[in-house]
Amino acid sequence: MHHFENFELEDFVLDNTFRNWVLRPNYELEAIVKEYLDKQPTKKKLVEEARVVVLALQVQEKTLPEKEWEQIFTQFKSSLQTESSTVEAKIHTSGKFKWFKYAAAAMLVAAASFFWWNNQSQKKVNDLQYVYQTVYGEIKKITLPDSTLVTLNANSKLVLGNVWTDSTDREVWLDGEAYFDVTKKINSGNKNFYVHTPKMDVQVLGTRFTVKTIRDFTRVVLTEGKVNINSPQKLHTAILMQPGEAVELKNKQVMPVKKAVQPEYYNAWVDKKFILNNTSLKDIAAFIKEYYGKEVKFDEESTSQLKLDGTSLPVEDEKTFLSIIEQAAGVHISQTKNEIFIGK
Amino acid sequence: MYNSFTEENLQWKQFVTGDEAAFTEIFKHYSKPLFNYGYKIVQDEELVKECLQELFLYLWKSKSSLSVNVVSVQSYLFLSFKRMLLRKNKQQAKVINLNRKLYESFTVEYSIEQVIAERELVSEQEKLLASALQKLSSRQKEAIYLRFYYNMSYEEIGEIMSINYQSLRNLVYKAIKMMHSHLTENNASGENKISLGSFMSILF
Repeated sequence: MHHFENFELEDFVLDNTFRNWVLRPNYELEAIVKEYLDKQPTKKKLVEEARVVVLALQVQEKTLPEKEWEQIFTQFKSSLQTESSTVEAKIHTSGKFKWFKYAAAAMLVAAASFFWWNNQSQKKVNDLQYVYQTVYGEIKKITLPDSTLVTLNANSKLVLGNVWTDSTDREVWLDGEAYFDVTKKINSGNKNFYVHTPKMDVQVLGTRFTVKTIRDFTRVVLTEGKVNINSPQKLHTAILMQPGEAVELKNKQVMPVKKAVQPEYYNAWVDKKFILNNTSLKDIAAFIKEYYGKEVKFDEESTSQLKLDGTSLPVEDEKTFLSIIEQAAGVHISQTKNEIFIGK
Repeated sequence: MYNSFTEENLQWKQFVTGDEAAFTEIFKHYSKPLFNYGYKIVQDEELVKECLQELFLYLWKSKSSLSVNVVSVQSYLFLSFKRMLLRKNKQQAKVINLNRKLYESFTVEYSIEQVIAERELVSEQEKLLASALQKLSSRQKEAIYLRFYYNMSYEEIGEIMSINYQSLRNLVYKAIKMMHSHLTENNASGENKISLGSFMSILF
């Protein structure tokens, strides 16, 4: 039975899947709605009306400047510290044994509540989508429910689409770039791990790899293990990848291109580094745009052709990164809020 | 809105047992949502910010007496914050005003209203939607807002708004039904053509 079966307008508007389709559509959600409308073409008008209601209920939030949030956070931290120093003094006066008794009691409560939230999470998971997101300049390390480690690059989003139990496939949807270190499932049978992107589905067979999907560019770089690349639109048959290979799909290409690469160059960002390997300032500009979200302009074409080699740069701090480039390339870098200008 | 339900409850448990890092994470996750929510109850930026600090300081001070087993961290925080805001707002109002409604209003600015205010050409349908939105009650706005923006369950919303499950469901369903009938009844022509082109372009 379809998820939307017997839905009235109110049900559509209040349904998370439906609202996500309206507000944050992806091909997966598109497919769910399409399947429903194919079977129930008369519901087209209702779906359209529900969509309009969802859009009309979008709220305009009052936004505070980021600087002000930093102040709010600083104030919060400092009031905590003042509070903690007084509490510490109190603890010193109480006996050791008394503390132990409390700790034991707390552990009992903790164990009981562990059972409770473990059950609860199963129920809740349909309402709460698991979404991990990063902003420009942020790299996040995430542990998934199966203890797979994911490093999410800047300006990226990873969605866990379903409840992960021992008997289901593990599926994630990616927009942006992420490095995966997938945990092998013991007694797994056919419980696969899938990374979905609009143009490639990566079927993982226990392994370490990077997936990048930005606009019309999709790339998978395999460091270790094995993965299968499938086409969500069934445009080609599965491509099996070996370690040290990359599979890329650009623009309107249908068939992905496979090539041999050195994965460490593609994975440097995981360690918050950028590797210079005969890299032109033009390539660095592309990185700056993706990672810090800033447009780079050059005084003239020849400046963008300058090449740097032989080291890896820390990317965590934008200022440091730019000043190293400035010195190494012998250029002058100035910047406004959203733009960086590089000249000789 | 949270990474996962389990993570949230684990963090809360760590906080209650004195983990400052966990508490800081809770603050980071909730300060913006609470500010957004609070500003709709009281349109006083300074007061909302002040309450935010006070709420978290209060939580930290009284952590030993808080329950490890809070059912929903989210609704607990929203409700505590709402109560604190209303109390403070009352104290601040020097002029005695016995109109209780004043303290229970929920003011939402919808994107479409702003679009209409800023644009000269407004479609018939956009006008209809805006007038439908104006007909929503404060409580309907609050319930829909919590449901849409924080993915809250009816149970959580019911706790925050002190209303039972069935009344809450009716409240929300009625609101959406009203919007729907507004949209269709006022569309004179049989051909129900809906376009929100210009409105959409602002949203995305």
